[in-house]
Amino acid sequence: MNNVVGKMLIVMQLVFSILFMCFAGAVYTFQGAWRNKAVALQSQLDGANKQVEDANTARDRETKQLNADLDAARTDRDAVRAQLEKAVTQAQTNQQLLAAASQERDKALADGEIATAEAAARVVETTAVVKERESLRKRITDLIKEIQNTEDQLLDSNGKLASAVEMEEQYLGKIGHLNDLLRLNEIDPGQQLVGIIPAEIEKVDGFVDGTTRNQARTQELIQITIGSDDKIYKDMVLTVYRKDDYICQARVVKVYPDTAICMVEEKTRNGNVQRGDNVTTKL
Amino acid sequence: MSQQNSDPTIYDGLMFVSLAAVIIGIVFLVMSLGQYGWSGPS
Repeated sequence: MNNVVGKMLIVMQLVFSILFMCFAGAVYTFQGAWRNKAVALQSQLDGANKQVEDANTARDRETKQLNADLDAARTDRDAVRAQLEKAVTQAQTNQQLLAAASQERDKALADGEIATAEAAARVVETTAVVKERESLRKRITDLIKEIQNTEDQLLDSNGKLASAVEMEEQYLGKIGHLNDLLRLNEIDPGQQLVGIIPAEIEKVDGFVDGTTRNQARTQELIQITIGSDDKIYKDMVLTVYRKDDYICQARVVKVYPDTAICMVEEKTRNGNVQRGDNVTTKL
Repeated sequence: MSQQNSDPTIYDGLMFVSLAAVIIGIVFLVMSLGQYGWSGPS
């Protein structure tokens, strides 16, 4: 029995010794490659560590830079915030100014509308004035023409007046000559000559041709359509009537062949004399 | 005194082979340690 166990132990020792020798040979064979691999891994590890350190250094540097930038940004933010507050204050001030300017603008617009309405009214008035001026200018032109016509008539009248004055002087010369002849015949030139007064006054009818008053407007003169040809003489009293109404009596003051001038006797007046009224010598 | 059987058996040879394998393995290990600068026990 002991021999069997010893034999088994010997065989097992042999097997394990061979296995130990194989593992030791394998280690000796592959340890170079393992070493190179370990060296390479170590080198990679060192490189990685270096990169990590560089990365950390860069991170720290970037962190510092970022902190500096953050501080600068905060400073800028504070400055910007201050500027913003200032801008807000300025905006509020500008808004108040804008409101005031809006009110001014509204007021100016209202004034402008009023001024426009007034201008339109002025335009209408100006148009009317222009039309009136045109009419007045036309009327002035007409009046100038009328003045020229009147001046022409005045010149003609002056010419006629000069002729009448000349004739009057001639007649006065003749009257003087006749007065001299009367005095030579012992006749007083100032003696009133009265014509033959008819014994019976004939009924003669006429009409009032016109009425006027003297310069003092104390007496009314009328012109009638009958004269010396109708046996009307000076100081003859005529009756003026209208239909069946008695108006007044008039005394003849001047006689012409076909007309005469009479003076209304105020004490006999019973109405106003009008053109066309009847005149008669006897009712 | 009893006479003993002194003839080597196969198992004795296996013991020597085993001893040789162990020695060779130790040599391999020492050589491997030598690669890492191991100079042996002082």
